[in-house]
Amino acid sequence: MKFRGKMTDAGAVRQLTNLASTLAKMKAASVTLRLSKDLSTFSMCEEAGSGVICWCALEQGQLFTELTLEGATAEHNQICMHLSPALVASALTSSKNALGVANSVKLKLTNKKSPCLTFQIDLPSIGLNPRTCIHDVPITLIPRSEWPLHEHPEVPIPNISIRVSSVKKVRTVIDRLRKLSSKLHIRASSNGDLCLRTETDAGTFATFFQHMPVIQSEDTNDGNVQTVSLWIDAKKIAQLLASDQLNTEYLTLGLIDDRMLHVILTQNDMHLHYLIAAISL
Amino acid sequence: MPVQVSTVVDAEESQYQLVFRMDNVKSIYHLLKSINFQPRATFFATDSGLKVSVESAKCCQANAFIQTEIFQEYTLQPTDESVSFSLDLNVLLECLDIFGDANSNSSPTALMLRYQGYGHPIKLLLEEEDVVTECSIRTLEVEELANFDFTSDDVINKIILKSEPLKEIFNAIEPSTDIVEFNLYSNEPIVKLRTVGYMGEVEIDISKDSDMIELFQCESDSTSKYKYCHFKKALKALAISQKVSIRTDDGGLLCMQFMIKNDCGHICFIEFHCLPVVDDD
Repeated sequence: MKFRGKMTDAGAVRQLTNLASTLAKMKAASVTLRLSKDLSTFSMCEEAGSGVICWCALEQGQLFTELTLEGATAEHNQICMHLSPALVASALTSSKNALGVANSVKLKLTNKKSPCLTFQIDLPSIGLNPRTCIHDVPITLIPRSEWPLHEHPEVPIPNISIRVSSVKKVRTVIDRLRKLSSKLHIRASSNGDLCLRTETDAGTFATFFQHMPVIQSEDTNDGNVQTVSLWIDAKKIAQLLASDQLNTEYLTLGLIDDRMLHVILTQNDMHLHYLIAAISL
Repeated sequence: MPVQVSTVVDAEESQYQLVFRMDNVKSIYHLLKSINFQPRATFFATDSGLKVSVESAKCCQANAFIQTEIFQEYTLQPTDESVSFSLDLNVLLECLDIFGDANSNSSPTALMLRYQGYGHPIKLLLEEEDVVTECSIRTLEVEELANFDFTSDDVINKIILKSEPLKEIFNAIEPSTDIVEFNLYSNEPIVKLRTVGYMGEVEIDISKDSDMIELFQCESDSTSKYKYCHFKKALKALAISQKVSIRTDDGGLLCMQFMIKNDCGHICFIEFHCLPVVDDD
């Protein structure tokens, strides 16, 4: 197996750094990176052995100006590995120094006593001598038989999907509601209303957002407003939003009636997907 | 559908014993947060404004006085009985800070509170830009509070100090301190502050002529001792105040009054009473 990629665009390096930082903050024990000719996909399972609940696919064309990939086999031209997002984030963060951003960041699959993803960072310097910083991030290669476990699931089309631009406000409100109760009720309507609510012995608390753009809703023939709602674990969504280091431009909340919430954090053309299962009271 | 704060019809208000409105929740939030040393607070609504009391172990008590001038609207229905209720102050504070504006300079959160009477919950409406939060907080039975009978007649010593320098002095107190002692002498122009703990003793002398003392009245020598664990409950109120008056009576009861000016220039007071430690000599 062989992998070599060269990043020269500061924006791409920043995007990858932010993604690694976000995944690191989510305190995922281990994150999977799948490299193919077209995509670099990071994914995360809730627990070992359970399905993928979080993933983000970046286009190789946007990340790397040069790319060489020879996967497991010619037929399965991919490389799949476990690695620590925190180590990736700290390697990439060193690509900024007082003089500006790195000239280039090269990623390479290497074997240094054990398999590693090596980050070679060429830093700018005042004098004639360029400086190179090398980080070896240890990885565990995933055998082909286990690849299906790390594929993200087919997400059903949501009953209602709305776009939320006031990301900071939603994050703050969800954080306060999480402190009041462990369960959060989310209700979205096809007229653009979003309600976040919780109930405890101490009282009931509900925040109403209006005029949210509706991305997806089911057609109802009678023209009535369609409403979908579900209860989720408040801590999960609060932690997702608190981990966000992406400079998220907007959130997309896809509600699948009584089954799950599909959250997408979007920054530019990068989309981080997160699935939160509905809970019953 | 959420009820907009600004469109509540006046006629509705007659069913409520108490209704008040504020354009910016920040000042009331910080006042109440500074006396949040116990989860339970008791609210008394009178014609001159709101009094909020928090008590700990019948040894110390804080009362925040919020005059009607602070509110944009304050309507109290004339009733035979006093209007009072208790509630979980932690929950109320989370609601007041639902949009996270208490500590930031972003657009203000407007507040409306309505209380229908005994047995009914507190209804809150908070609005920031076009997002509305509705809360209904359960009220609790009002328990009798200790009556710290502090009359001007029994006052033997009174000093008024600037809060900022006093705050620095108290911030330097070792957290494991057991006793805080105030010593005032009629024939010596100093305030002697002494702290005693297992780590040792510290004495701080403040000269009567120093900038930080604005008033010094000492009729007879006095030494007053307080348990630091009770005394330190006043320190959050000190932190947000501009001036503090410290008075002790012949029984050693401490009364501290903190003068707090909000962003609009309105003044509120927080009073703190603390029982002295009695020496078993």
